[in-house]
Amino acid sequence: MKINVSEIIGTESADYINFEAGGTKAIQMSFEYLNRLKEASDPKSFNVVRTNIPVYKRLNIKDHISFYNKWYDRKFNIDDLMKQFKLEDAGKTRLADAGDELNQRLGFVYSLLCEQKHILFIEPFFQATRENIHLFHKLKEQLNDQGKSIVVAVTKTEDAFLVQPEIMRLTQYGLQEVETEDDSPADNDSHISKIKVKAEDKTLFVNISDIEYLESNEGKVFINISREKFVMESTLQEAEKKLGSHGFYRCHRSYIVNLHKVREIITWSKNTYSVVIENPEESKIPLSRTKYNEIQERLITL
Amino acid sequence: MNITRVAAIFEKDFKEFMRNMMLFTSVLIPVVLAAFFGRMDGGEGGVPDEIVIIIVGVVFSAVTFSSMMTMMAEENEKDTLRGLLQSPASIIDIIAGKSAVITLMTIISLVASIMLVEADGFWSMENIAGLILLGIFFLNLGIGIGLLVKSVATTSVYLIPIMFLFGFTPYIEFLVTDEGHIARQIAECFPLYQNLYILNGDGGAAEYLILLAWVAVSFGIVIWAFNRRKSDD
Repeated sequence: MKINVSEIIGTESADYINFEAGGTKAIQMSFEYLNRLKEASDPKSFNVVRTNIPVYKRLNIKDHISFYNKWYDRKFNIDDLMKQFKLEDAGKTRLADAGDELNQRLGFVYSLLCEQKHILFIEPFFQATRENIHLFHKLKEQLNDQGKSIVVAVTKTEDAFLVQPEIMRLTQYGLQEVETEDDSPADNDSHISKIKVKAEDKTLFVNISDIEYLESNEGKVFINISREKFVMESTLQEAEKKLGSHGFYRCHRSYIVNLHKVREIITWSKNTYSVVIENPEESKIPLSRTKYNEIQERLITL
Repeated sequence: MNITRVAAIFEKDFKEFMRNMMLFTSVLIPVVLAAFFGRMDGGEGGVPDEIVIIIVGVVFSAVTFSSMMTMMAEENEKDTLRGLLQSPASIIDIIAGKSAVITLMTIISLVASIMLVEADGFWSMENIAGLILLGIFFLNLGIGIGLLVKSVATTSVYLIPIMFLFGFTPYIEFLVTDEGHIARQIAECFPLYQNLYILNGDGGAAEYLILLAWVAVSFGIVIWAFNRRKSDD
């Protein structure tokens, strides 16, 4: 099953999003493309898992699961399913009273029971709880084992890396793989306390210690400081040189993290890791598998 | 038709019906009306057949027609069928499951109402045959309109005229007192009048044929609605 990229980006392109049985793709794209992808997917062959899936508000979670189980003539044990998706205590919750977290879990259960061969996840990590991200990873393996194909579409690059280390990007030029091989780190000491960034017409000087993390995205370096993003006129490599001695660490090809702001490291699956930043959103920054041990050492000796 | 799917829909919609106050109270409306009428006329002749048949009309328009239409409209509004309609056959399963719930509720409401008005000789074979035809007519009307309406709010646009035209037909005798009036003659061809004649004991082949014609019209509406919906998708 394929979806032509030209249908989504509106210009000529020979690329297509290929839904391969038993495979998973993570694609970063703009919000606009995300909506068009959602429309381009025919509900007969794609099950779209998004926030707020349509439900029967008056029925409770267990009613829904047993209805899907019967409708699709699956022989799942309802109690086991509820246990797997941590719904044991929520079985009697009516969907009108269930929050986004429970709705998303029901969406996960539905994708396991449905008949469609292709599962399209739209922004599964947007405001998702950590428990649900763990559940997503378990679900992903199960779906792949069932021979279903998964495409995860997200707007934030960090979110794409939450799925797996290999990600793709959909832009006006088509669908490209995002390179993820690691560059050799360059250590070079320098002593600076502020960094020059640009925000529209202003040039700002920000304290290095305020920076949470840096990311490179389509040739630009963005500095993230408590919900704000600024462009820094430099490459990630240069930034790494400048900031290396200030407790910054290149945790991924496209990311540098301020080790002082790191709260914890999460293991989602055997090769997907995240660094959680100490901020209200608990931003999750991708961590390369090869850096997993090194960052722990750096954090201890910090 | 896939029986497991029909059963799945039946179970789900039965639960929904019991928890939806709007649908659940619709079953009670004719019962309450019957309780009033049953006490009002305590004379020797019992409740007049016109009143009994109007209660029948309320049961079929408020329970059979309205609930079916509302249930379908709710699915359309919430888009809850989107993932379930894998094949064209599955819409048949859904309609069959819902119809079973509605039929059950109609029977409960009708039996309770008739018990309260204490109509004698109501459950004769002739009358039951007439009621089945009337029930199919109202059910099909609910399915047809339910396939087309996009939201629960728009169902009331259809409910009032259908209820007055087909549910309260004998009330025309209060509005138009002249027996030979053209409006009365047209009304006497409406389905509920046929059931009144059958209940009176005046029913012959003609009444059943007229009812069958109305049933045929209602099937036509369902097929038309199906095609309209298919071309909309």
